[in-house]
Order: sequence, then C-alpha cells, then structure tokens
Amino acid sequence: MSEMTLSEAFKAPLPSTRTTREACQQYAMCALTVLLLAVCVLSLAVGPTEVSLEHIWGAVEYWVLGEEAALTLRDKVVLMDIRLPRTLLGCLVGASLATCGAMMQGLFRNPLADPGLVGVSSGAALAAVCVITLSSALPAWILDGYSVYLLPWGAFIGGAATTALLYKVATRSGQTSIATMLLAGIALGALAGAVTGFLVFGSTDEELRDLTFWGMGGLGSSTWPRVWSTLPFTLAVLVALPFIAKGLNALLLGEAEAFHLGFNTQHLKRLIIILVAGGTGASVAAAGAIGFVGIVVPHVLRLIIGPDHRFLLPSCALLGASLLVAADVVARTVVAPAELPIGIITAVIGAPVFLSILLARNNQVQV
Amino acid sequence: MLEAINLSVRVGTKTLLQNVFFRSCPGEVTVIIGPNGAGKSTLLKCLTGDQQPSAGVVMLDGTPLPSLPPIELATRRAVLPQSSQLSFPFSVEEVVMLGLISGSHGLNAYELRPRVLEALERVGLGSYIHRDYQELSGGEKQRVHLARVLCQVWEPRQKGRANYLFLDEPTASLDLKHQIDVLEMGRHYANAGGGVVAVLHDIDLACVYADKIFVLDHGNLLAHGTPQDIITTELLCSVYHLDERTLKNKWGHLAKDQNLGRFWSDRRTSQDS
Repeated sequence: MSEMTLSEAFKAPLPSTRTTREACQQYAMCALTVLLLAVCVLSLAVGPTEVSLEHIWGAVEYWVLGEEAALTLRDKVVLMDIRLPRTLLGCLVGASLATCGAMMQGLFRNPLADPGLVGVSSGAALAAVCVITLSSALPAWILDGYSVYLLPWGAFIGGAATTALLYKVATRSGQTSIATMLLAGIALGALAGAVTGFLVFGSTDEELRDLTFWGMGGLGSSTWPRVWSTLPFTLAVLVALPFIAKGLNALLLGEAEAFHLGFNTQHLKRLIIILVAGGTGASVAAAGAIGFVGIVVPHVLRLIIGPDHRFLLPSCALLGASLLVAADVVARTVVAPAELPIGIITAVIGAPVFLSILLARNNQVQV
Repeated sequence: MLEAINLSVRVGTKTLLQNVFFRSCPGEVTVIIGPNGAGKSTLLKCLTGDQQPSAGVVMLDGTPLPSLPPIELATRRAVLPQSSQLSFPFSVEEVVMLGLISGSHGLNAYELRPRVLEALERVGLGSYIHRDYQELSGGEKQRVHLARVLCQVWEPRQKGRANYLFLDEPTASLDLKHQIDVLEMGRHYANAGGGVVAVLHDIDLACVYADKIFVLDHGNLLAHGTPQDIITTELLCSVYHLDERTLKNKWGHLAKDQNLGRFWSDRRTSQDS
C-alpha cells in the first residue's frame, strides 16, 4: 500500500467518537454559559441608578473573595438587595420554565406541549390564589414563619395535581393521545381560571391587593426570601436533569420502546410529572404565569443542537435563564420608571416563534 | 429458552388470549401467525414483558419475567416495533445510538460509534448515518430501527445464555428484497445461537424461515410445530376462512391437499444441498 500523502491524511475521516452534532452541542453549551453571564451583568448594571462595570466587579470581589470593595452604600444596596435577587430569581424562573417545557414535550412526545399551554400553569395559579385568599384561616404561627413558603408549595401541589389529572385523562392503555391532552388541558385551564375568578370575586380588599400584585407577574417584587423559597424547586429540577435525560430520549420513541430499552417507564413518568409540577409551580408562585418560554427555548435549541436531552436540558436551563433575565431588563427599562409585565415581552417574542413552528410543520412532508 | 405456560389475557369481558402455550428455543426462528385480531400482538406483548397476563406465566430461562428488572430484560431481549412515531429531529445515528442507551452493553465510549455504523451497514444503510431520520421513507425508518434493535442485543449468546430478538411484523413496510434481508438476518442471529420470535402475515415467508410456527386464532393456540408438520391446506382454510378456490389461486403451484410447509422446506433443503 502506498503511503498516504499529507493532504489525503487530512481528508481521511478521523476516528472520532464525536459526531458533528456533538461538537456543536459542546460549543453551544459554552456560548450559552457566556451569554447567561453577560445578561446577568447587564441586568445588574442597567436600571434607574447606573452602576458601572467596575463597581459590579468590585461587588463580585466582595462576595467571592470577601475583600472590602470600594462601593458606596447606595451601590451596595442597589446591587445586593434589589438587582441581585431580581437577577437570580429571573435565572431560577427562566431555567425552570424552559427545562419544564422541554421535559413536558419529551413526556408527551410532542414539540408543542408546554406547561402554560396545557393548563399546568393555570392549575398552579389556582392553587396560588387559593393560598393567598384562604391562608387567613391558617394559624398565626404558620403565617408568621412560613408564609413565604406557602405560595411555592401550594403552587407546586396545584401544578402536580393538574399534570397528573391531565396525564390520566389523556392516557388510554399506555397510549397518550396528544389531541385529548391538548383539549383536556384547555378544559382544565378554563376550569382553573373560573375557580380562580370565583375566589378573586369573594376576596377581601387586602387579599385583592395581594392578588393583583402577584397576578401582574414579573420579577418586580423580588426579595431574598422569595429567591430562597424558589431555589429548592429549581435546584431539584436541575439536579435531576442528568438522571432523566437518557430516559426522556428513550421515551421519545414511545413508552413501550422505552421499556424495551431498559427503563422503568412508570417511575420515569412519575418523576418527570413531579419535576414539571415543582418547577412550574415554583415559577408561577415567584413570577406569575409567564408564557412561551417553555416552548420557544426548547424549540430553538432543538433546531441548533438536536433533540438529545443530555444536551438539550442543560442548554434549555441556560437559554431560558438568559431569556427571562433579558426580558426583565427590557420590561423595566422601556417604560421606565414604570415596568411592563414580563409576560408581554416573552409573548411578543414567543408568539411569532410559536406560529412559525406551526407553519413549518404544515410545510413538512407527512410520511 | 423462552416459555409461556397457560397464558390468558382478559381485558374487561373480552378474552384476548386463552390458555396459550408458547416456546422459543435458542438457535431457532419461531414465528407466530394468525388472522387479524387473533391475539398475535397480545402474545408478543406478554412475551416481551409489556403486558402482564391475567393468568399464566412467561419465563426466560426459568425466571418469571415480572421478577426481572427492565434493565436486565433489556440486555436479554430487544423488540422491533411495527412502527415508531418520532416527531423530533433525530439523526439516523442518534436513533440507532438509542439502542445502546441503557449502558449494559459493556462498550466504552470509543466503541459506540463503530458499533452503530456496523449495525447500519448490516441493514444496508451504512451511508445514511448523518441523514435526518424524519426524512426517510417508511421502509428505511423500519431498517434504522432494526439496526437500533441489533445494537441492543448485539451478541446472540452472552455468558452461555441466548439473547432474544422480537420482530413484530418486520416485513410490513418493506419491499421484497428487504423482507428477505430482514428474515435472513433473523436466521443468522438464530444460527449463531440466539433466539428469534417474529409475528408474520406472509405464510410463505413464515414457512421458509421458521423452525417452529405457532398458529393463533381467536386467542386460542390452534397448532404449533415445524412448518412441514402443521401448515396444511386444511389448517389455512379453517384459520383464514378461505375456500378451496381462493387457496388454489394463491398457491396454484401446489397440488391439491399438498402441504405448504413441506413444499417450502423441500425447496429449502434442495437449495441448501
């Protein structure tokens, strides 16, 4: 055999273990991490009070290294007590919404499923409203100590109940009907909305005030306790991602196929439902119902890095967090000193993307 | 050995299977035939562990299926479904890679892709590795899944025990050549010591490739044994409700009352020699 020339050697396929897509997946993860960091810095820097990058760096030094930074008290308060919790809460909510959307789509094997679309968010919102209007009946010691945790846990239980009911209604002898799921989701969403309206109708003035503030959504009332009460739910979702990613990949083939490939599908489905309910519930409790993040982020990422959940889920967390923090920056700057509800910004971005998905699906050859 | 004893499946008031016996031995291709609604798919679901029978037991090498965890089952048997809906943009490589997802194959990261490529080459789709799965035709998709299933139970025998390949109507969406290719592949798998269980509609193909045939009708096992022993004109007439004339039109080359199973097995032995 003749010796390979150098140019031939370069043309020969390398014995690589990575597919072209895998390289793309790793670049995307790095790029998304950088994007999230950049957006977070932007979110810390932008606002009615300008904080220079130098000061933000000083604050980072102060937090990380414990060095006393040359920060004015005003900057410290603005950064530590207002913008940092707000940015962190935005990250938590955005990451939860996007990963929950991706998980829901994997569970239902349909790229259009979304916790907001199929009524899970409405269920969580109903439970949250229940907590606000009915919590006055609870003993005082619970209200004093734990009121900030009541809302996320209530929303979690509401989301879990809705998801479980939805799955039950849509699944017949192991087959989940997508049409039934969407219809049932609309029905459940409407029912939850009606009951929510009923509760609002019968609430006192003070409860009404709480409800209005909460219902406007957005990250406007971000405080450290709210960050701490949301954190465990988002953390649970993020920690669980590596364990369910392979199972979700298998589930895309079908439930029977996932079982054939060695997954305990019942446990897997239950775990996914609990995680989706937890993540959605906590974000609804923290920031109201924010639509379209859960559907746009996974869809855009699937186009770039493919549907493999081992990469898709962490990328969703990164991009979802970036999107929500960026949307929040827009929401609080365009009409400053007032604030737009963040749902408006995400809907303006989300609805056209959603429509384009539908159009693209129509053009696809149906085999 | 895969064995089912006194298998019954009832859903509500409907009886899908009634006291069915089944056995598939290593080194053999076992084919299940029967008309639509005979309970073939239900039997296959029981054999793969998808469905729990209302009565009776399925045993793999003497262990009842329910006591085997899913991951253990996945290393011992793989199932080629009739059709798979996949509405996400996977590449062909990623779909086949799913066969290696549960990690019980003992391959390291550097051996996965060569295995995937080899499996695709076996089903004649070696050049399709970077194609988009959703762009393929129905038959090509079916072959991609065959490659995935092959990846899952690559070795016909492992630690002295046979692995099993389940094929649910594997020829349904394939052209003639690929129908034969798929069944040849099953034949080779069995010859190498593995077990193959297939549901087929084509009696000719069943007779050519099966070592044992199980005939189901209305949830009952009508006959089982080698094709030359059981596939007779009487049996086909009664199972498929055919009259003599239709049967003659379909298998006109057979003399009256000749045995279809024997016809094909004679063909096979004359070809082999």
